[in-house]
Amino acid sequence: MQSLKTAMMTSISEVLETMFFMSLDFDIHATLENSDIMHNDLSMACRLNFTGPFSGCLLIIVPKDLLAHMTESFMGLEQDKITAQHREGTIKELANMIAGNTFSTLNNQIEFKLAIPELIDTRTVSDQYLPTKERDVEIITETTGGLWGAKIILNDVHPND
Amino acid sequence: MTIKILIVDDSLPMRGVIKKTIKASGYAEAEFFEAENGKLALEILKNTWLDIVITDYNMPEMNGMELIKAMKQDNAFQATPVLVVTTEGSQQKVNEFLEQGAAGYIKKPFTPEAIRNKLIEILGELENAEPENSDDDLDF
Repeated sequence: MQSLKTAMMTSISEVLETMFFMSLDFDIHATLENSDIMHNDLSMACRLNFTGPFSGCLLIIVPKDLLAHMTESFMGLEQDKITAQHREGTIKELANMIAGNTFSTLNNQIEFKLAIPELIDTRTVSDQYLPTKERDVEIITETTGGLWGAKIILNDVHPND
Repeated sequence: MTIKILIVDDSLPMRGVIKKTIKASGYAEAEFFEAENGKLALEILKNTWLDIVITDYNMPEMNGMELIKAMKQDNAFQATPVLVVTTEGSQQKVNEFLEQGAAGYIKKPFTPEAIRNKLIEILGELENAEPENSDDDLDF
């Protein structure tokens, strides 16, 4: 079985390149804790719970100005036509596509149930989801416009444990 | 003849992306209807004759699988083809969609070509079809 981290990186690449027309790079030195991504009111966060052979949640955190840029690329709309609803929908769909694609890349013979993505208060992220545990998977991606973070927090036993 | 397409997805941006992709794929004259979930889609189906329903799976109220099942149980629109466009990628789920009567399946993320090819497969080749903007090779 391909590792969860590799599957997640493959998924992020496919989603950004195919649906957002964005080139990207993975910043292996940056973390949610040491980067600017976590600056409370300047970022938007989304959580998607999942269950399956292992369960947990996927967290997506994107600075608001980068999210506006991503929404523009995703929807093909001019900045002045983009609404808060568009930005919220975009981060939710980003979470949805990354989660679904990660699990099918990991093993498409196994079924995971994905919940409906929900926005969360970024001020709760530090308390509830940090620091990153050894078995969690955190990926910081650099795209045109800045860094954003994706993190899988596992409830149960990691498949590679 | 204008074809009528219902897009069912709880994501406003995704409905917009699918609509734009379809227009760029040679269906610029299509008439679009939108619903946020299967339940609202059934309301539209009761009042409108449609050529195809394009649905997500994971939605609140009524998901895509429940929508397909409901459609197949109703004589009025059991023949309307359903194309599933979803992040659900397990083989088991794909098989279930097809067993329940989906005419096709596309996994998100998708390319404009994937949408175009599947629509042609289901609805047939378009005559005189021109992409809405042929210069940008189906990008939007």
